[in-house]
Amino acid sequence: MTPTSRGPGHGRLPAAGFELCHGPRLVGRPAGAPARQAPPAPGLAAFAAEARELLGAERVLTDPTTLGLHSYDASLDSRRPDAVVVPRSGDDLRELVLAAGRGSVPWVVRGAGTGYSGGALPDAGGAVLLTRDLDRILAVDPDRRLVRCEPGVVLADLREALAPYGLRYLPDPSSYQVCTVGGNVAENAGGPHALAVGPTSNFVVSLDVVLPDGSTAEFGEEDVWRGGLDLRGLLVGSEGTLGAVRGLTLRVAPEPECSQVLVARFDEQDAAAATVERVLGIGLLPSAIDMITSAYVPGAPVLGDPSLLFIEVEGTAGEVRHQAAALTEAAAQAGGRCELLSSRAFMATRARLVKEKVRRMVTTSGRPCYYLFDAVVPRSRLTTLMAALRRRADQHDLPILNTFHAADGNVHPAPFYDPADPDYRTKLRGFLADVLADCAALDGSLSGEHGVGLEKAEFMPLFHSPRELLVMRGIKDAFDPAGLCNPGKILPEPDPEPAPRPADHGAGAVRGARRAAPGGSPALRVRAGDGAVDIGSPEVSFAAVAHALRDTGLELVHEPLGGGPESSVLTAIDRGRPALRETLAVRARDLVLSAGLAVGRQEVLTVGGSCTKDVSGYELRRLAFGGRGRIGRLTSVSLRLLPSPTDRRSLEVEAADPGQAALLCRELHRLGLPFTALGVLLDRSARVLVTGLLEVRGGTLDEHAARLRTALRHHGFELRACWSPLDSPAVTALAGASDLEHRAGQPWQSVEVLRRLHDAGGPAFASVGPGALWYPRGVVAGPDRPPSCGTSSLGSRVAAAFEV
Amino acid sequence: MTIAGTTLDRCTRCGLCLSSCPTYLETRMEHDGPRGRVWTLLAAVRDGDAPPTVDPTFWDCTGCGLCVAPCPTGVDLPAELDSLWSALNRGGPAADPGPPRPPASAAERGLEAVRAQAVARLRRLDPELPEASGPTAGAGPLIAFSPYLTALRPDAPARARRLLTALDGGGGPTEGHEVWERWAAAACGLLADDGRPADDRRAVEALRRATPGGSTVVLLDLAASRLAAVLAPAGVEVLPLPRYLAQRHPGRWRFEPATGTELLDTAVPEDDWYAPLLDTLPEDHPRPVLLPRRYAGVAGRDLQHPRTVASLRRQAEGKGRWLDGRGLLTADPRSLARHSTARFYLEGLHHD
Repeated sequence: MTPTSRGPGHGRLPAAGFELCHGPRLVGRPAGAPARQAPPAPGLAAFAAEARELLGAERVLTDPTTLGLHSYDASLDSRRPDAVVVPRSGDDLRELVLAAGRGSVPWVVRGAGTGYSGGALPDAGGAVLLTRDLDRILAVDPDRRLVRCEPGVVLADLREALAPYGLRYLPDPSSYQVCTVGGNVAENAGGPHALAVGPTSNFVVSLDVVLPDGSTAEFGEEDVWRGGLDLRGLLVGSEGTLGAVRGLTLRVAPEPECSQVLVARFDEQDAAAATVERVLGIGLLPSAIDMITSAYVPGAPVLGDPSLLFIEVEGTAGEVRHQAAALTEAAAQAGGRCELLSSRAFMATRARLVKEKVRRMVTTSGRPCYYLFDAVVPRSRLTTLMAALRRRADQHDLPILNTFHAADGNVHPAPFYDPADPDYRTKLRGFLADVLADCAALDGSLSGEHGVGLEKAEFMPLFHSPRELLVMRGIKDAFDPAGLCNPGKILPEPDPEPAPRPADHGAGAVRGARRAAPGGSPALRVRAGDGAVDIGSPEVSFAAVAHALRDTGLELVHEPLGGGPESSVLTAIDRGRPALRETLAVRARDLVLSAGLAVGRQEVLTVGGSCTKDVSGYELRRLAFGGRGRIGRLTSVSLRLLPSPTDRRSLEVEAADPGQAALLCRELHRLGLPFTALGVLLDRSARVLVTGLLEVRGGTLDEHAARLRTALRHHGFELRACWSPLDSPAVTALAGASDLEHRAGQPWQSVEVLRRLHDAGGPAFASVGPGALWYPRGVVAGPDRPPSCGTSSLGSRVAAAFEV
Repeated sequence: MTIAGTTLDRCTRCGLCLSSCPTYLETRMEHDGPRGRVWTLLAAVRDGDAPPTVDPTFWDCTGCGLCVAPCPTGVDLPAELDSLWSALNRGGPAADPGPPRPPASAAERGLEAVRAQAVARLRRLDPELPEASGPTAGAGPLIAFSPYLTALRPDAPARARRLLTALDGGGGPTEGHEVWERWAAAACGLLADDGRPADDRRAVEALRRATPGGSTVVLLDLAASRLAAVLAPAGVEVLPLPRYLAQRHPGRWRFEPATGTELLDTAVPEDDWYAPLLDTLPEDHPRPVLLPRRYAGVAGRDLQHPRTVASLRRQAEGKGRWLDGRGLLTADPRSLARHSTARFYLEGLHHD
């Protein structure tokens, strides 16, 4: 596909200067105090001159109006920049970063400015660099289901561009119509669909980044398999503090054949929350479960507006019918009044209902504004947190609404206030502090999707141990020793004493509440209510985990290529072993919720937490996948679980040679069936097989099986009742290979290597989906590849940051 | 204008308005979006006394109103724009203060001549008349339309009257309707847009006096939409004709647009004008597609601020290029002058 950008007129930039309007005298009090402003950096004039030289004066704006208009985002804070610069390209971006470095000018990259945590605000003044013109969609690869684009692409435009291919990009924060891909990557944005498929990070294949020193680097998901660390995973969600993304490759997914949303109305909040538990308990994995609570006004009778639950299901028409019926029954049993909508109307309907609730609240409470923030607890603690929110609302006399992603335990409390009240900021901050303390006490996280930014930096010590904060600071220094790249975000001032702690709070709210338990982690503990399993010993095997999960309706979606049922889970994570079912949006690397790391003789360092959505600070836990001991010895992990499939069947077809097998694979791939694994396997008996695994969570595969038979009747194949993924031919064939070689590409793009491997008699698995060929190292020559970032000095410096 | 009593300080800067704003979609700059415009006004407040400093791009806003619906807290930027413009023109139309307007296309020049003539005519109305000769209560709906419709489709009101008479029963408009309609046209906002707030207030007050409480007003065209806000204090129900037909006479009318109308004009508010029409289209009829929002600004105010005029011209020309000869179904009479392929929706309405 050829590059695209937006239509005509896009180049128009505001003319510098002012106009006096004669007449109206505006009196009153504006919403928000004047933007705080740091004194300009001494090198600012030289930077601005360089920028003008590079871009022309019209792209370097320093008039007070422009500075003011870029001093805010959707947060309560504001910070005034000294210059707003509009680069035309990624190369311009790099030149600007270099110029800023020469002048010691702080800089921050800004997309649409819709973040809720102040991530795009220039805390130290300096330059705001707009991604407005870095808005090209460079290529769509429908075969590999990838899209390459620039950071300024708006999510809605990306959707529009993918639609003709029958593809879609799944993360969908509520601002998707205007927010940019770059901002989403910076904050690791979530949205309703993060429930089934995870946040932005799960979809980022590679990032082309301008590092704070002006050098450039490409960080890809395959770095882990080339001996590097997953720095890609570290950069996503780093809130623009480690570099500026100038290009990125994202994974996209086929549009579902059918999707519907169940809207259930409940008189009681808790009945709605209980329905969430019930739905997940019956083995369904809806694509989204969102909730809007009834308005809560302290001291006032209940407004009589219902709590709303939105549950979206996708699949074939038959699957959707089946799941919708099960959902309706579950919701009705809890007292919900149900209505089914088409998904097309989902976001719009949700937005309309939220707006209606907000406007009703404005009228009822007489407080016209609201402050919306983000907090998260493990799913099983959701009802406890909701009760705590009502208590805090009473305590601070703030009416609240709460619109949130229920099944991830990710709430968005929205206290209403009157901007004319001189104390409103103090009140809101007090409410925020207390709710976050409640989350900490409930083993929650500081943020599920909005990020920490300026808004929550001071609360970091409540959720992270001093040592974890030191590691994060070390990482920031490794990337940005001069401290010019979006300074002032995420990390509190270096001496975080004392931590914010409300006087009335119980013993749970200790500093760094997420530190490892003093007794160490249990060897194996299933937390079914949270959809997680804790593993505290290298002795625990995949088979043992499967056994422990047998009656829970949950499974660990990881069956390590190169390992097997009896291999150690901790070792597989540490070595970054790929899973058979890498086709799923939640892949092996995305399963890690927390990790315990032993560095030297020190106490174990725990990174991450218990929540399925967690973007609090740098996502250190992501480095545990494929860490290979470099960031510490892996002593424990918590891993995310998914509901077990309600139907699963496997496919096995023997082919004459790798070429024929690859073509069949492509044919199968294009059928759009729910394959969670599919690929060409060269087994140890030199057979060439096409193997696949079909799965659904909710309903049966009968419809798919029928379509498969019709489509491929000329091939002659066998659709079996099933082998379990851990015993699959691919896992078995590669078992025992201590190191696997990796090549990117779909099987039909790897036919030549497959032929050589076949001739060499070696086992290999060419997997469809992410598109990867795996084979034991040394069977044939490895691919030519550039030096990996992960093994570069940057990777070493990141690893060194853990030695504190 | 004071900030107290306006909706500006409700803005939480969430940005949910941005994607609906035609001028923001043109440039993706904060200056050109509703959130930035609200900030600009609030900054003018904060920075103190008159005259406030207002970013010139503020006046690129055409007041199309598409930002009002997505706003969770109900900030009404077009209303603020009206107040600011009225205050600016308190002593009559201000001298052109800004940059020269870009040259207008022939279609645009024609439309501007229509506007100028209408303003001249509206200014000559005698405010004492309606009280003496307004309509009486309970005589069926009153119909209202903008001066653009009278100029560009002179037969449309009569056609609408026939349709309503057939459906509502009764003997057609009562005495005094004609006078009322003239005042309704004057209160549509054209005088205010021209920088004559005093004349506009006069028309609004006269119209309110002449409108019997409890009546229903049916709007025939989009350019008359501002009457809804004007008549709200008079306790009057105001409905666009398609919504009125859908509510009052379901199943008794049909919509058969001319063949080749592939696109729907963008509307404010979207739902009340076109949705009821589309609901009655036969299953096998090709369904027109809504025009992208970036061209919706041309359905806004006709503020004669040079920046607003330039912004309108730019968007109208973009829309013309985008249409590229395709048929357009519209409720906005201004589109009839701008685009030769435009068809007025009323022509497709029939009663059974």
